Amino acid sequence: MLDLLWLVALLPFLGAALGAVLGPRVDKRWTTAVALGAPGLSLLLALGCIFEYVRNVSPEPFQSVCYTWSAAGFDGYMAHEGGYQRFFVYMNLFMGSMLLLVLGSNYLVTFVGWEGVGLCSYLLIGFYYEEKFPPYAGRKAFIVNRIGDFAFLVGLFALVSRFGTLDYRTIFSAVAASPEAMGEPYLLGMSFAGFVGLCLFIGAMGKSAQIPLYVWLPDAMAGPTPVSALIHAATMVTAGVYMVVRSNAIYQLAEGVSGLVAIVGALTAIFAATIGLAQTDIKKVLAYSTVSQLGYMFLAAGLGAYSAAIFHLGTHAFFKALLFLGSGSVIHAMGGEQDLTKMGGLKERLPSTYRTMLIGTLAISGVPLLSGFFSKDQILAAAWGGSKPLWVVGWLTAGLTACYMTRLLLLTFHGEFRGSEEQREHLHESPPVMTWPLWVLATGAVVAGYVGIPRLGQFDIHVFDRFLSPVLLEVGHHGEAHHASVAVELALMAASVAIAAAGIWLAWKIYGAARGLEGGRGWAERYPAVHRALVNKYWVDEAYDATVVRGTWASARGLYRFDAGVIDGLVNGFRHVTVGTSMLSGFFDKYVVDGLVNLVGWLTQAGSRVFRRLQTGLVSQYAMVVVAGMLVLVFFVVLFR
Amino acid sequence: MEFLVQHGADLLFYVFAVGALAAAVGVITLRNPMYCAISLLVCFLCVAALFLLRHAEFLALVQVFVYGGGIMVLFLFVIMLVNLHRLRESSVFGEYAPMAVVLAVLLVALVLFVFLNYDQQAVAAAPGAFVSVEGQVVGNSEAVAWTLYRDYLLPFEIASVFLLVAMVGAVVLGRKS
Amino acid sequence: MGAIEPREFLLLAPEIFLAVAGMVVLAVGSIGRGLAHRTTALISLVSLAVVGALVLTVQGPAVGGEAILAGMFMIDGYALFWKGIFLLATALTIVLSMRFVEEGGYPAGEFYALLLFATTGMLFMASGFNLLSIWISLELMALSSYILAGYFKRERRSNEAALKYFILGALSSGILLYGISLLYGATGTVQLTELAARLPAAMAAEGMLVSLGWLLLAIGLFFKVAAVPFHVWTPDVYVGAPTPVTAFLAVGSKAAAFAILVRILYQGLAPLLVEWQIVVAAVAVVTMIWGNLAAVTQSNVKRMLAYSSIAHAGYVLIGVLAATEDGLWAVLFYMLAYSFITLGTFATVILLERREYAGETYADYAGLARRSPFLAAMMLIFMLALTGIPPTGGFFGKVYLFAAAVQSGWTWVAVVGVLMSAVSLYYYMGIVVYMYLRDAEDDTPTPLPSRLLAGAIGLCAVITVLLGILPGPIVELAKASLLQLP
Repeated sequence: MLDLLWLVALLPFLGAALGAVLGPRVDKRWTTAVALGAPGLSLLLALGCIFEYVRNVSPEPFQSVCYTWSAAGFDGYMAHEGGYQRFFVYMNLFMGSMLLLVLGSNYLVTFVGWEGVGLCSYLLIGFYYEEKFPPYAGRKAFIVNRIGDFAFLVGLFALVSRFGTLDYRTIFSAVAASPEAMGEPYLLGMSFAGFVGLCLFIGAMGKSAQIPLYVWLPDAMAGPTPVSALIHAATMVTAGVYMVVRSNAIYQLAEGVSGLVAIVGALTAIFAATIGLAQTDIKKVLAYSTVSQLGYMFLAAGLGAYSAAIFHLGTHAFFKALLFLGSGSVIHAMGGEQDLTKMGGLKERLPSTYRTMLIGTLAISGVPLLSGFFSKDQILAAAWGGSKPLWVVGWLTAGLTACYMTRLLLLTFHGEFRGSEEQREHLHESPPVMTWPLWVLATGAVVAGYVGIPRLGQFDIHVFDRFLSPVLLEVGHHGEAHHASVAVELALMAASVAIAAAGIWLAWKIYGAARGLEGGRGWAERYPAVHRALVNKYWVDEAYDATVVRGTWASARGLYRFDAGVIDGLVNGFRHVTVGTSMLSGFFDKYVVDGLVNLVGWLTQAGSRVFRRLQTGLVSQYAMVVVAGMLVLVFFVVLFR
Repeated sequence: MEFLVQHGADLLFYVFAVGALAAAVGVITLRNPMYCAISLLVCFLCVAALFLLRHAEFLALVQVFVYGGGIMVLFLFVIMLVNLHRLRESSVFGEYAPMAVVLAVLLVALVLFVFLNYDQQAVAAAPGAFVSVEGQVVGNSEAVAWTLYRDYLLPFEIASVFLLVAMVGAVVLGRKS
Repeated sequence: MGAIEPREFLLLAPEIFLAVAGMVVLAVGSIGRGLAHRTTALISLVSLAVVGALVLTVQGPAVGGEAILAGMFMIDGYALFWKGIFLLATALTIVLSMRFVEEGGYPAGEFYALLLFATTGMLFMASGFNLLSIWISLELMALSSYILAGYFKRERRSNEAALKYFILGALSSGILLYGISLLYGATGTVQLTELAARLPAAMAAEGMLVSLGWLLLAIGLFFKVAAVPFHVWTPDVYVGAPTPVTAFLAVGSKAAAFAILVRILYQGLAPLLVEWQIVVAAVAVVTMIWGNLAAVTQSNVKRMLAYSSIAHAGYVLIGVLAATEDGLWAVLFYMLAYSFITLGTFATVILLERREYAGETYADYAGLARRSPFLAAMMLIFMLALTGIPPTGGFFGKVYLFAAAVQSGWTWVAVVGVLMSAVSLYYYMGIVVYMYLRDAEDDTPTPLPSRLLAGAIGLCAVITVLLGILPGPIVELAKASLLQLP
């Protein structure tokens, strides 16, 4: 079964190719069948692989993990009701690239998948290319990602120049064999491990939307359905985390960079969480929430708790997919409305959506016994062991998370309906094809945490750690060694439960009961500066616009002037030469190239004439051909042997 | 005389071989179907003689009975029934005739070349093979019977299915539908 | 050559049963007004299944390699593998024929009986271990094929095909027999192991005679596998014969001819390895080049498929040429994959033929994706497989063949094979282009006239893809079915 792993990645590509070839010529049902069939098959294969892996351990565990999360993606995907061929082609292409990314056994394949998902996200965000904003958002995502990719590529160059290969296992065993060599100064005052680690991390920052390269993700919500939002926000973005964890051997040897990863992660977590507090677009709230949760994962990865990072990645996939699909159901019911201020009181009309989203909210808030609690707790425990200030940041973020998620829930489902009469008429629960995946994901959001029940003294049934252990090499002198005592562990749990409760309580206090938007307005009036900063997302986009974008434009204009003045003069000089040359090449084209083309055509014609002449249909002549062939062979052998 | 005694069998072989070939050429070149049939009969008889020369008496007789007798009669029946007096003038090879001639010459040259280089003394199958069974000399019919019904029983049985197929084919393709 | 034990006849049970089944079908087909078409076909299918079971139970235990009937009939894994292919191919051919024969209004009993007789011949060929028994079984198969090719006697093309096939087949049979007689003259035996044992001495004494002998023998077989320049009959016969028969010729006849070609070259002519390798290489190269280039210029799909089957014979010859274990199992694997792919392709062509011969040009395939997406998709799979694109069985088949040739040092032949596969993309994809990118004049959906046939097509497609995804089990099976090598 594991031998067939390559097929898992290939199938979606085939699906994409087939979809592209079929195009709109065939019935939509066929497109759907192809688009769903290809990844469906690959999902089955992947499950088979996981099953087999669990039975007899081999060294590619990681790859399998990521299927759970791709699987979550598929569930959501299924929920989308039919539609555009183009959309499905992009989706399949995306699946393929993503699988390539996680299945690659070396950095190069991973990079190809990495670029592939980048391209797909550009295509999907700009899907409605006739409107104004989506193409812009697509370009933004692409350019921001390119910045990260560039650094990633530099890191790969450094690796290949040192090791002569990009194969994971070769590199990591070489790293593990001589940790000291990694520590020697390399470039810009950094060690080799540090330099590579930094480059890879910058790549991850772009893909996983970390400060300062997070700006593209909220805009990516301009893409078509919640499903595409889901792949951006819950699937693709985790690639950065995956890559950093995959490269853990390098990060373990680069303490400085690991610290940077942790700090950037923590800052991103709290920063995005605060912005999430004030957004009014339901998809954007979720987007910022994703950025914040990714920050958590990087925090864990930076602290060396790689298993915790991936664990959170897995549980997050469940509840975030659930929340995105739930929001999709809400938007569907509202007739395309995404503004929270126009919603409210949907609880009665969308009972299934409400209940599942409630579960998702509780899970992400870290309510005990749901999945988010376990994974978040593991990260916070690692932070406590690593660095107290980072723990404080993470702890506060947990509260903020609970707060903005509860706000989202309250504004959507509780209070009075604030939309138009028309929308009120339109309100309805989504069809089972949408609610079923919601319930499946809700189940996942509840139980997914139990593969990683925390270690309490001797009580150790952490299945997940063991699943990952082959990938997490112990390199150098320290590993994942921050195991706090049982008392501390319990205290930390209590603390996170408390802050989560506080966050929920705060949100309830502001938006709960019948207060709704009024409550929020009251607080906004009380702290106008804070509110403005949050609503405008700290003016980061504006700042980038003023510095990076305008700077680029300005330098472009400068270069243009240089071009017009100096280069054009040169160009004019060359023009005369070119004209002469082009006349020559015209002759060449006319007599040589055309001649060749004609020759090919003539050859085909002549060929078929020859074949027709030989294939006359006359039996006696056929017999002659047989005898002639026989004679040739016989003379060949008998006379020249 | 000495020469005749020593090489009489060889001389007879060449006489009948040339006769068979000439008759075969006659079959495909003569225009009157009746002459063609007679040529074919001559060809069969020459071949029967060749069998005799190799001590294959049984085969020679069967050749005369079956081919010279049965099959020839059938041919003659057909020719008379369809009232075929003269075949249409038609060239089998047409414009490719020169090519066919060249090929034929080359083929003959090749076979001659091979056989002229062939050492007569090293004949692997001795003539006695046709009259002995496991070292004991028996009649030719008996030797053939042993060969057919024991040593080569399988090909013999397959041949029976083969003949059945031929019969079915003739019926299927010949039947009016 | 002693007496024959009764046990040896028991071992022949499958072949005998099949011949008897053919006679029974013939008989019940002509009693009174005869049985219904379907009943006859059903009887034939059931007897094929019984034969399959008999092969496994009776001959299966002897796969170690037992030569019975004075070394005339060989029971070994190699023979069993081929018998499997033949039985499957015939069974599928019967399924393909049902509608065809019924609509044409031709007698069914004789048709299926002839198919069974031809299969009997093939089974004997697979186990043939004596040039004489091989030759007569080959003739049994060939004669049945001639008649089947002319079975649609109201069609002029069918008559013509049968006659051409018969005349040229007789010529090749003469060449083959002449070769056998020369070998017999030089060595005094036609039994394969004895032949191999006596050949070195005969080579020393009668080199030229032996060379001419084996060469003529090989040429007779090249004719049957349709290798250039002995392929001339193929296009006319494939186009003229009823399409199910064409499928049978392209799969069954070809496979059977390969079965004996490999057996004779590997076991009987083993001492001449170096000599025949050169000839096979030359023929393989010429076959691949000619077959593919000629296929490019065709506008009739059946004719294109005829040339394509010629080209595929060239590919298989590459594996034969290698003369290694790898080459041998590659040939077995390829022929199995090729059988299903080709039968599937012809089945699709049959479904598209509106009346007996209409719907054969490329243009008839225009817009098929819209008219019948199922058939278009199936055809797409088969065309991909014939080109050798993964994930289909055709891909692995070619890879194994080429790899075997490279390993045994015939890289340049493999290179020609790869280049010519690239050429083949042009004409296989031509059909795909017509199916998917051209608009049909008439856009009404084509109904599937026969669900059974559609099922057969689907089965072939599934197996084709399965062989491309999970080639392992069949490769293992083929590896267990090897001959002893020179």
